[in-house]
Amino acid sequence: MQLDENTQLFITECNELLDDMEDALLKLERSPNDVDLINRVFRAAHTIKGSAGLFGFEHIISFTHVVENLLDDVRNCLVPVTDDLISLFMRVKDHIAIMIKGLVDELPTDENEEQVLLGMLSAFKVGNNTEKEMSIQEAHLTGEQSEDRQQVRSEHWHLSIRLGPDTFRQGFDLHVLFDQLCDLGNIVTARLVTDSIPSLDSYDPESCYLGWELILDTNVDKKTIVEVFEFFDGARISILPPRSKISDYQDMLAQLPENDKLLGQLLVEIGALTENELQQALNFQMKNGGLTGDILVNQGVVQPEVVDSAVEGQQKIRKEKQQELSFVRVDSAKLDKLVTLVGELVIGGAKVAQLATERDDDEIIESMEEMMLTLENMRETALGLRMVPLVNTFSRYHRVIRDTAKQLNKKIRLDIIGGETELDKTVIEKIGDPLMHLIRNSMDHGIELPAERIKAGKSEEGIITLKAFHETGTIVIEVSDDGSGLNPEKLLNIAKERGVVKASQNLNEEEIYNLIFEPGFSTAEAVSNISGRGVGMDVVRRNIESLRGSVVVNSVLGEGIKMIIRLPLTLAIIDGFHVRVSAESFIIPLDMVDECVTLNDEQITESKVHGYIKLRGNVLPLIKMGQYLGIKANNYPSPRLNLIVVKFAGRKIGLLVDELQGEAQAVIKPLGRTFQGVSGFAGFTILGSGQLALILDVPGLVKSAIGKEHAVQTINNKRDLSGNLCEVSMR
Amino acid sequence: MMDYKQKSAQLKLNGDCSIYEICDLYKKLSEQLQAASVITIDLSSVERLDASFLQLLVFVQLEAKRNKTKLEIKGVSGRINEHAAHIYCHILSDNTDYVPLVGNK
Repeated sequence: MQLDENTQLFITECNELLDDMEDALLKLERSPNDVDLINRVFRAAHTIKGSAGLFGFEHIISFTHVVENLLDDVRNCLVPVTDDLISLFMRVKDHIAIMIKGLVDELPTDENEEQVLLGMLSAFKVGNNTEKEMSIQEAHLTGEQSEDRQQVRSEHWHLSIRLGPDTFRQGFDLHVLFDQLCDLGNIVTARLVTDSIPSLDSYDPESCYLGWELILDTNVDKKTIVEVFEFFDGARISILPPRSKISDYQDMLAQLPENDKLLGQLLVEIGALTENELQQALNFQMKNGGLTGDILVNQGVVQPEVVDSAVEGQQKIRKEKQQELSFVRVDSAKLDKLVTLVGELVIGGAKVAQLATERDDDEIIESMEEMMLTLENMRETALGLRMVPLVNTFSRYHRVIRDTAKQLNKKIRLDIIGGETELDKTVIEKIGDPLMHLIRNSMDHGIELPAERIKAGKSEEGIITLKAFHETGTIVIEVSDDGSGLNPEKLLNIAKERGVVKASQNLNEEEIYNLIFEPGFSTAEAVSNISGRGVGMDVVRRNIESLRGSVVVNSVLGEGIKMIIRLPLTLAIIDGFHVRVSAESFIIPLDMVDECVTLNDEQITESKVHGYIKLRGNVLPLIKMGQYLGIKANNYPSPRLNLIVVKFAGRKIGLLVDELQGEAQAVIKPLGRTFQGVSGFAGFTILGSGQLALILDVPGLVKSAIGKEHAVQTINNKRDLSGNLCEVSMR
Repeated sequence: MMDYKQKSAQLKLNGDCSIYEICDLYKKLSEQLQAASVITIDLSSVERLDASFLQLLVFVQLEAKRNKTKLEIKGVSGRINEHAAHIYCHILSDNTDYVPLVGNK
């Protein structure tokens, strides 16, 4: 369905509010007495209802209205926060999400689910509770709350009454007025106020000049008191609540939905001020100026503490609004377009820079250098626009873990570390499913049942941790659990049984762990609807690798498993290092370059003899790029051999190239379907000269060099045994 | 409705004293307030009264105090007292905040 911009915005905002609602509900489950969390849930429902009202989405309004009513009872401590209540609100949140989605898909909502939910919401409502439930709710009140209620009962309202001049003429009987006040409670004292009675010259016997300062002991609210004076035209009534009510008003102010209302409106809404009092204050303000709060306090209709709280709340809301205003919602497609254009500009800039260098014109070169600096800033800013913190993606798994844990009768908690770490939006969108898969596996196969955990000396509750951090130009996301971990022996046996590994084949621990990524490989004894079919881990690895990333497994039997995912920061433009192998140009991602070394004769000989060299005493596996890429060396003779040390996932390897050309910004272009099967390349870019350069896939190169490293270690071990190690090290 | 004497005025109010009669009552009382230095008001024959009358009595008390006129109110029935008490129609004095408007019957 084609939706207008405003409806799109409504849907986006609703989805954000629903995310916030879910987050608050999950936290509320752990802290059921946290008023702020209850307010967050209420605000989300309230705002969705209000916004739906603007668009006339009646079915959303009517449903959220019922939700809001129950939430109001929860806010007022009339309905306790229980697991069942949280589960109900979770379902409610899901249903609202379906309603919102239905606006796009034009699909009808699930009527049955709606009726069931409405029934459950109604059953939870305070009026529908049994006496027993009510007494339980009372028991949930803290001692402090009960004390507060007592205080309200024992303290008194202060009424300042000034009757209107026409009271007598209109035939009002003051007996009735005082009878009604007595009906509300007990008049503790009443002082007649005669200040308004004029002197002989101006006394009008038919005019009323009477007033009272009255102390009333009652449990009713301000609105009820005001109603007594409803028909007394021209009367000026100020009602100050009992002392303890001030804190009630302050609480009410804190709980109000965050609307940018005027001070007077806020005070009327919480019942601290009547409409009439407000109108009088506003009239006074029109004539004399001044601040509403000051006028209200001077007129004695509201206590200064209440005004202060309202003003404080207003300021907070305005500040938040201001912050909101500093953000602009932009269609992500526009950002993608911007990044593409910046990419084109980078390529164009490189071309102009090369021309300037060729013409050897200092002024042009200088101007070009300035422009390239600005271009670099522009590129970083444009890419920064697409960077999104991971926390939103991570937080989504709270709900999955909660629901799945209940289904599996397990107790599992999600810990998030480094959620503020930012990653390109495109990468984030693609990493969601693989992460979900890893988490489901941890829940199903990793974390043990509570009884088993206790038996193993662990806490009843299992922990799944999502951790994100930067590491040499990549983002590392770790998914770990404190469950049973992988059993390498069992894994190997299964692999041999299924013919994935030959019976005679021996694998090291890392290779055994990597078996879980083999298609169709599963260690699960039973297939559940959560995992265990052996479908998925191969897809997880494929998805991660398609993002130029890698996944590594670490596990300790009985202690848990850690899946380490490494991803590039961005998929768009990178700082690269331009190298030449024979006549061909290649780009190495600069953040993976550790150092550049010009080899001496001894090292060149060593590199030719072995597949490694010794660099400052350490063995460094080598890849001779010309040989690796099948490029004939004599096409483009090089005066010397250059070594580039690259690193990935804590490992270093050396790449032997013919020439180092220096840094270059590279706009990553995909290789296209024809070359997708070619390993060792992450894409290509266009150089300033217009020449194409392939971007080297360093993680892939490191991986392929690992085999060589094992071989080197084996050689070293053999030398160690024959006593030749010292000789090798001394070289 | 009312007896009237110069300088030392004695006023006896009788019958209904409500909003309907209040203008007449005010006229008579204000004349005395301006003319007499000692005023005695007898309420023993008052039959019906309302808040406008009680207000007038408060006004007379205040005015007498302002003019240093000696004022005595007598013949206050239980009904008048009850009526005044019901709407807390008391007048301030130097000694206390809550002095009943009328104390003697």
